[in-house]
Amino acid sequence: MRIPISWLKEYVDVKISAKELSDKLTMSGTENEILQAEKGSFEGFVVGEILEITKHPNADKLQVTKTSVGKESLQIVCGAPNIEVGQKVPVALIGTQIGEFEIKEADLRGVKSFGMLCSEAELGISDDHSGIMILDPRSKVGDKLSNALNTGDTVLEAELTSNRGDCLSMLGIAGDVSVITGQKMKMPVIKIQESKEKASDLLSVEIKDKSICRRYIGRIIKNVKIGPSPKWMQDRLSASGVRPINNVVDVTNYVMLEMGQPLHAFDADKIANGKIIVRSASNGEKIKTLDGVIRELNKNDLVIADNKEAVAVAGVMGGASSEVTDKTKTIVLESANFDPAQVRKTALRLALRSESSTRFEKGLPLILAEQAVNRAASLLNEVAGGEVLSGMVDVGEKKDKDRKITLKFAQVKLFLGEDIPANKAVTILKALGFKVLSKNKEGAEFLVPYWRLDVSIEEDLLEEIARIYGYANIPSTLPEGKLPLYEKNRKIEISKKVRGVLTALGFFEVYSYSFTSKERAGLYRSNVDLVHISNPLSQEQEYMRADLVGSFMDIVSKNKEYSAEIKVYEIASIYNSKTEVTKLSGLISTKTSGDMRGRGEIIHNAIGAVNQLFKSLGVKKVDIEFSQGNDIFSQIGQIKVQGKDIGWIGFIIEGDRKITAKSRDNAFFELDIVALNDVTQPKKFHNISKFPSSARDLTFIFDEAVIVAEIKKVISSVLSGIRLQTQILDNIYRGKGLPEGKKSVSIRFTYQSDKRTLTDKEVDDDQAAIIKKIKDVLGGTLRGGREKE
Amino acid sequence: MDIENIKKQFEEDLEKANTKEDLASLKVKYQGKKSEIYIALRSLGDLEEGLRKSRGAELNKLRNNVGYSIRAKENAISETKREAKIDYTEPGRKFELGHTHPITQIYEELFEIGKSLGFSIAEGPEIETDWYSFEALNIPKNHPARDFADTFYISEEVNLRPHTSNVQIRYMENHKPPIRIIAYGRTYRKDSDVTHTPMFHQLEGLFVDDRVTFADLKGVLTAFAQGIFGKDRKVRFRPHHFPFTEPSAEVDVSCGLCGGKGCRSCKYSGWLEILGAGMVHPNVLKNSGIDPKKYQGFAFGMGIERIAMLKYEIDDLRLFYDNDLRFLEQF
Repeated sequence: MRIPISWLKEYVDVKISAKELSDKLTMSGTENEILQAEKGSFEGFVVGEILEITKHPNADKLQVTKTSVGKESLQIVCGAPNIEVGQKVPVALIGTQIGEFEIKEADLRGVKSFGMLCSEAELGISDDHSGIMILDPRSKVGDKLSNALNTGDTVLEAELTSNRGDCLSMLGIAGDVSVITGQKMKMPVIKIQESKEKASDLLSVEIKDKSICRRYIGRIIKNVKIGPSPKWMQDRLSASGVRPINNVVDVTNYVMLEMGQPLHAFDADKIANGKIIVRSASNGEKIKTLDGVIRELNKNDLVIADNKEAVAVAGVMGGASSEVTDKTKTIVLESANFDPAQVRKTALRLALRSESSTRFEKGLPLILAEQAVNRAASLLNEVAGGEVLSGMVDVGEKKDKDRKITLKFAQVKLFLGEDIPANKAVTILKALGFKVLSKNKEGAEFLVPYWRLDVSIEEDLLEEIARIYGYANIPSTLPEGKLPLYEKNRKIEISKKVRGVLTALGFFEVYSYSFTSKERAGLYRSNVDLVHISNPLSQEQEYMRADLVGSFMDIVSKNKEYSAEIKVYEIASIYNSKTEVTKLSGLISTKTSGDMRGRGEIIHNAIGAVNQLFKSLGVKKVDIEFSQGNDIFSQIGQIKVQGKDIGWIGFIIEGDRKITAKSRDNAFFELDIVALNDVTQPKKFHNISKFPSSARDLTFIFDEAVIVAEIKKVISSVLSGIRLQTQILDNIYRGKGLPEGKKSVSIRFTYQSDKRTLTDKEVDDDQAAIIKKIKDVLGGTLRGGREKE
Repeated sequence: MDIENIKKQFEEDLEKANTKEDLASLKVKYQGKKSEIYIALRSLGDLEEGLRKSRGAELNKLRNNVGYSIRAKENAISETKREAKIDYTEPGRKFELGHTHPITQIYEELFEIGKSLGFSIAEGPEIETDWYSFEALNIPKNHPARDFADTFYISEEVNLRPHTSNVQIRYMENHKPPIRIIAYGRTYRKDSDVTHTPMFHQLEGLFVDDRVTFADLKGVLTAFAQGIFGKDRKVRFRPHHFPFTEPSAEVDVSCGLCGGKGCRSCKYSGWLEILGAGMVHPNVLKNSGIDPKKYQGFAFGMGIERIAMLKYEIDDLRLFYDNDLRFLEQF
């Protein structure tokens, strides 16, 4: 909502600076800023007029314009949707500086462009970049833009909150300004000279469903002379961002901006039989709206119709068939109260949100329809020479029910925490238009002003008091009262630990979108029932992911140019049609080495990272059970803790599969965060033995076919009371010095007792037993051993 | 030959020896076959038994002493040399640590502040029903307030939550006041440009008790705002409107770049908006099974990316989800 200050002054004296007014409005709940138009010099920008628009031959979203800039006409390519022939627009000529870049002759997909049409955002006037800024039609073509924009008026751009429908009007804003500045309101005087002829002789109105149209007023104005509206009215409309069209349309827009009630003018001669019917559309019913588009309606849309056809989509847009034209003599002025939800639904469905629909959507007081139609009739008489027929055709309810709210004065302190005196609170409410119905020591009953549809409970009154009293005048205190018991959050606690370990191991934490394309949503869980978004932004964001493999592969593609090794993790949910579960997902990706050794390295790095994580968290008895992979993974291992499944690890080796970046080997792991928390064991101190430990390394030569898991199993089958630890060293060797198909595996055994120093014999006996068992069961032969202290 | 003299001479020579070469000649002089000590030891047999024993012991002691002293000096010399070779200006070893995402870092800071004020941490689902995302929060269907969140839908009744406020309702359903929670997590709105990503993160706060006031809201949120941006920043509360709170406020901190004077980054206002808040609407309490006649409270919500952008001076929201490692390694 734009507030030209010169216009505002018609209703309330403004004796403070624009900056001060702007601040005071912001601090009482109407956030706003001063439009920057008057500040700019707009060097190199001129007023242009669009002479022609043709389609761009090679791009759907671009149009080619011929735009006059006075002395010459330029071919300018434009991507904005809102341009029309005849519009005056800001043009940046070649050589003009816009922010960081300079406008140059450009080739836009095969069509030359000699300049640029600008939006308000590009001019730095506002944040609006939805389309090209449309200038006042009276602007002179070729004139400097600064001349066209600098009207000498300061305009506030207010961002209204959704509850304050009443502030979508100059009068509503003026009401608040009057309260916060202490100046009196000056209401516009409405005087109508009616002719003798009765409106009801020319017009009848029928509402089919009074729940969706609670009131409909028609007034008839005869013998209007269509032409431009007076300069003062055009200036105010332009300053408010509304394009002046002709005196009749301008009056309806003017009254809407002034009072908040949208109006519509029909050409009375085009309404068959002078009968207006407010009804639901039928399914498939068509109407050509004012913008020339034929719209298909359904039974949930409300239309204004004569007994032949729909002549307007109620509250949204008029129809072309009944449009006011230069030839129009008699008009029907509509002022109605349509159901907010109904208008909203239709406007959303037809993508026709307008100044009008926005106001209906917030809800309007019934009484406003009558005030506005009278205001408009008096203005039409003034600016279009129209003859206002006697009376109005008024169907439906006349007035909203009174709303009464009691304020208990004690609540002010209890709720706001500031002891605002009762009389101060009452004064604020009275200034805002609340009427005191009764009052005693404890409290007062108020009648809510008819325009404040948003106020219905005591808390609303407290808000009104607080915002006018000033939030800044309420103290900041720290709460008293009982402290609730602090509850530890499992996910947060475990995530924090996980992050600590993975950071130490060199992993980068990433955050990626929860949605992705169908193809990438479940690369591990390919059979899961995916969650589908019915209104996605694109196909790339259409499905909630069932694992993070696809997301991580994208990260690899993005970073592979400058990172040979990529280690990332993310703690995020995965989804299926039944549930969402938080997982820790991790990835190690390296440039493919192409040989067994390189592949082995990435696999062991990933397993090592997972093991380190378990160790740091105090998770014991971890097993990884490997099996063949699927279409994507060459190998998958289920990670089990104490026999319980808590995650998996999988490898995507280059050349094997198609979804991964070229020349990369990838190891992926996933652990369930809650399960991980549950298997974490509290750390417990173990007595450090006073007696020395001794370590022995043994190196065996095995056939390739013998896997480490088997070796471990065999060793643990040799029972010993003194063997503290068995560790397979990570220097498994193949190649020179060993026969083809063989590998050497070194194992470190640590021996210790809590009670005594071990003898060599005890240790030797255990070693001998292991050597024998390995030879017997696995065919492993001893390569050489050495003692380590 | 007088043993005392040899000893004295050796000590003088040892004192003067500063290089390996000096020590080598010292070895020849005192340990070689032609050294006085060696010769004296060889000639012990010529002495009578009593004298031989005592002189032998003295000579052996001297010989051991010489050997030990020379070795010690050798060690000292080579030690000094090695020490001189260390270049302290060489680069230190590079330990390849990982990095936590800036969103996590902001969350952790906020959790810390929340804990210090007695807030526990709660969470709720991202795929949510219309009731918890909207209805229970006093946002009926077709209410214009639904405008603020252009929502992603799974079906008419199920959506991707547009805010973390669903956690308020779910928590209140299962807990009795006093309640102090902060909720965290992913939220979704159908928007994508320089200032919007379709997924973003929020921190939600809820405080319900029998006496908590709007002044308490101001105190707690000032603590949060100054906790994250610094004690020197001013905090202001502006009236606003949210359907789920009444009264409602938006909270600004003074601009850190210009100190509140007004600059490009604060759009010349001197203030930066950081969060929305308000006293919980009685309908919301009622919808969650809490009697609004007995209890009242406040709630607040903030966008984590917004806080991170202001704190780290990040100018493009999309960087948070690009996962460019060159971005992430800065945090």
